[in-house]
Amino acid sequence: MKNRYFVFNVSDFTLLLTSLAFFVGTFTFCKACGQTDSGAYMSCHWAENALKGVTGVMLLLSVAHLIIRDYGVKPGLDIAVCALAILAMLIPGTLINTCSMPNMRCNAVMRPCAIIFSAFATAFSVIDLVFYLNKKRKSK
Amino acid sequence: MPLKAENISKTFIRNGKNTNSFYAVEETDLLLENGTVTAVVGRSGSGKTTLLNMLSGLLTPTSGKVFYDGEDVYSFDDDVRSKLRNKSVGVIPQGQTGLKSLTVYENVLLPAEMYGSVSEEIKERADELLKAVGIGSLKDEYPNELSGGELRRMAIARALVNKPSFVLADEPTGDLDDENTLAVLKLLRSVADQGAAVLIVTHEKDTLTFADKVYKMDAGKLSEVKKEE
Amino acid sequence: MKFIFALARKNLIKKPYRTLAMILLAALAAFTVFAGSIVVLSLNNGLKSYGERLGADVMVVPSEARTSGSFDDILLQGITGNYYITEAQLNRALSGVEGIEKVSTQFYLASVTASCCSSKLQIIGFDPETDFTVQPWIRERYSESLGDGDIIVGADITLNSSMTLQFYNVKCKIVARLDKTGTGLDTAVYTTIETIRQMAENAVILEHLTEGYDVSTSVSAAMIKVADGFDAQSVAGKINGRKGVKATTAQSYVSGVASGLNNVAGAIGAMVAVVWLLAAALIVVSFVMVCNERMKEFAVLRAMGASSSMNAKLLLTEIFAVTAIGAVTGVIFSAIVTFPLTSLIKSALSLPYLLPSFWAIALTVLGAIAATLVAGAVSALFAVARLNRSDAGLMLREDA
Repeated sequence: MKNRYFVFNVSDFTLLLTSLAFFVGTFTFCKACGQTDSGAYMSCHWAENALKGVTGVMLLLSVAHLIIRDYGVKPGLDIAVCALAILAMLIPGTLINTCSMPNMRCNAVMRPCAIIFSAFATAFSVIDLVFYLNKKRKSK
Repeated sequence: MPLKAENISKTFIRNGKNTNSFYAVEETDLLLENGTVTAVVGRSGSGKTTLLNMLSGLLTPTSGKVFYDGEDVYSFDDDVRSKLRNKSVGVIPQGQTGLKSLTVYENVLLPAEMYGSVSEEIKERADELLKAVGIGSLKDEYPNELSGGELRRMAIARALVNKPSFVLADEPTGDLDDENTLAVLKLLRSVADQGAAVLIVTHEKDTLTFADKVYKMDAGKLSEVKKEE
Repeated sequence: MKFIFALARKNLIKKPYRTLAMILLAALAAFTVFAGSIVVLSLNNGLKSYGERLGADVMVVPSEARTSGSFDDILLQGITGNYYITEAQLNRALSGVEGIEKVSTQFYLASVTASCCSSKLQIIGFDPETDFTVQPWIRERYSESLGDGDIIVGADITLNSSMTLQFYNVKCKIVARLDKTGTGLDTAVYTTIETIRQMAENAVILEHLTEGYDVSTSVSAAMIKVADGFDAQSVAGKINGRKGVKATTAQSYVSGVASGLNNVAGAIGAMVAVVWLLAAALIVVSFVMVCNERMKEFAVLRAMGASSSMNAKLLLTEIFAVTAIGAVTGVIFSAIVTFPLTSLIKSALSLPYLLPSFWAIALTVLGAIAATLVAGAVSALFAVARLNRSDAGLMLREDA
């Protein structure tokens, strides 16, 4: 049983690290375009803000997922993180417009990063979900 | 339907300064008859395990032949020989031999699963065997949760699951306490009484009281010891 | 076989870390092979489309154009520039040069931010009468001739619902959008020289363009097709002897880009090879080590009646399962990373970068998986050799 204990820590930490990197990223390496010369914000700025909020919630849920050791709660948190990850994937470009030129920062960096991180977070939360559902079924 | 060995010997090539060969087992004959327990005693390194491996079809002898019910075992290719070993020989190897990724129950069923599907009858038999060796309650545990004695008993149950005609046991009582030793030897005796030919290779004297025939192995030479008591 | 699959599965599941580590190794190999191949293929594809779109043999620009690489700037990165020369000056520079079959002038204008969120665009005005470089591939998309105020846009320019764009107060109608080229031309706007001169006149009034140019008589560049029997290099050389202009051959652009591409492709190829070799070596070493560790287990199976070919199959099944899962995972993650980052990779490399076709990508997927399986197969070879070298009978000895 000791073995199992570490396995679930691995998946917990992977999910947490992904959420953390995504959240930190929206403030640093995957920011959208800055202000225009005239000082106005372009629409991608609001996509960036929305991403900050959504990834912030994802991060909180992932922390909760790590701390709470209840096999009934963990799968629920996984589902929530998974849904948020899909939302985060859709924010730039689909739900909130990004800029029109593909080589601008919001399209070249922010959107791809959002897609990549969301894809990873979705994958990891689903893996984690399957793992805990299995565990719950076995423990019955 | 005996197991018969004719003139078998094994030489190994020693890799050293002067490459030379030495006899692990010198030419010898051996007959294991059904319903009997045969014991081979000798110090470690005397060639007992080599003899047993040749008898079980795992190690091709340098010379001589091994017959199961009159069939020359080493005349077959490895696939056929392996299948023959699976069906008619129960090998209890030395040391701890549980497969770690299988439960005790799965370990015991392993020989039955190898060439075909497991019938209900075999499952029942596996359960009975586990009970007979006294580890029925541990069937869903994994080998790393078992003690040395329990693992040995599992190996014995595993060797018997296919109802082999020949049982070849290599130090089956090594590192077991007195109580377990007695239980294992009684079990092997009862297998022989049910019609199998049992060979026990050991360096412990306790075995001798259960054996019908006793051989002594000394530096590769096999000689029969007359039972006095 | 059923027995082998079941046992292999249990063996892999009971050793989650070992299995996971090996899957990751295989995934790493597949990831790099796939990402590297996609980048190299995209670069080659980009170079091909770049060469096709160049069209002219020699290009002549005013000598005030920043560097000889001005065209590179436009073609590769969409960096815009405004430089002009009067037609009279240009004609003087070209007159008497032998070997010129066709000449067509073009007029370049950088837009100010066209509408919200757009960066500067390069507007290219060509002369429909003489043009031989732009129209051949415009016709692939738009077969009629361009009217006044009509524009054709590059693939990276987003269309709005009104299908119009306004430059320097000239309202233009978008009549077509070109295929993606992977070059700076994807952010360019094409129009006739008349339309662009209107814009330029407004630009002078709006003080975006320095005064002093007589827009109606100026051009930015001349495209030259060299007549048969003449060498583009020598034609360019002769033009370079004249005052006020400089000429470059298309060949030197393409070869410049090609050598840049070769450097990048070489570096990527080397990196992929190193990572693949490393991953393959690690897979081999770990499987051989695992194999050593499991010698006793295989010997026990032999004692229970498994043939040596059964043991080999068990090992092969485990290796194949691990490398196949790893390969597929690696390619999926690689695709997740590589495709969204296309425009970032393109601007980082400053080279034409055009994703290959769907089928080429599908082939690359198979290739990357195959390359990883090869690494697995190599390790399987070693592991089975190790297995066969050992003697089950000897392995069962406690002291062996």
